[in-house]
Amino acid sequence: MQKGDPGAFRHVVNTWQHMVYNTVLSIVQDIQEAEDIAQEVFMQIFQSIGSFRGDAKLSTWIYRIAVSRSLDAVRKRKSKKMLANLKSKFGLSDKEESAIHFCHPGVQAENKERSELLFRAMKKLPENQRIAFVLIKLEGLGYAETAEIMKLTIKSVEALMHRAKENLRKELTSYYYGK
Amino acid sequence: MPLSSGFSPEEEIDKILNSIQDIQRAEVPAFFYTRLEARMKKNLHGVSYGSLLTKPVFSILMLCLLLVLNITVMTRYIRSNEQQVVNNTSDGVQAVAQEFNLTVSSVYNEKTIK
Repeated sequence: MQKGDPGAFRHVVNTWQHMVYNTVLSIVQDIQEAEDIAQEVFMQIFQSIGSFRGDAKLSTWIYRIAVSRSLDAVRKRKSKKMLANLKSKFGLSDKEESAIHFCHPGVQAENKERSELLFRAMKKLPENQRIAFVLIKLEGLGYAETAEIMKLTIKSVEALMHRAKENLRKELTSYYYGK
Repeated sequence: MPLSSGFSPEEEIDKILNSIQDIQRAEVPAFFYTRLEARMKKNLHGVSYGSLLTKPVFSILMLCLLLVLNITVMTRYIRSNEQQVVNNTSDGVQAVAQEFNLTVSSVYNEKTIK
């Protein structure tokens, strides 16, 4: 692929497309946006494959791109939301963004309602905790691989996961009790 | 809005936290590669001006440029106005002095008057 072989690029896309899409979708929680971002991830892979030295595994490198692209999209959406809120406060826009409930397509039917609540709570997690939670719980990666992707130590990832679970429990408790 | 499942709140929260335990990986929609290829080809044809205009960096740059232009024009205008005022006042003083014959006359002029 580094030699510009289009067949090799197709192979990379076919191999990693579901992994990239699932990671992006779990972070941005929007089906349409996730496809756009997944495409951007592969475009970036195509453009910067020359800079891939092979120090890390190819999957780790692709995960890093997917995570950073997704976080960019989340930040962009947050700033847009803030601007929209500001506009509505000044009466410049009468449309207020309604909370959209996201349902991951891979969730089992009986867990659909509960998982919607979990994804909603995940949105409130700090970025690092959210990424660790997505990679471990939704992508099924191990702590070591997650640590490599996030450029952290395994202990830091363990701490992040512990805090993520605590925060999710707090968020769900406050939601459950209507506090 | 609590769920009406008959479980205690703590049990319900545990169930929510475990609801993604058997989750399947989401798969990309069909023809993903075809759409990706089309987008890449479109991007290869060059930067579209429409997308350039919507970029925040571009709008901030344009705003700064406008601001600098405005300041330059304003300062030039104020300076030329000041100069005109100075010229106008000196012209006016001379005209009044001539009108009322207030110009300083020399000794030779006085002699000729006499």
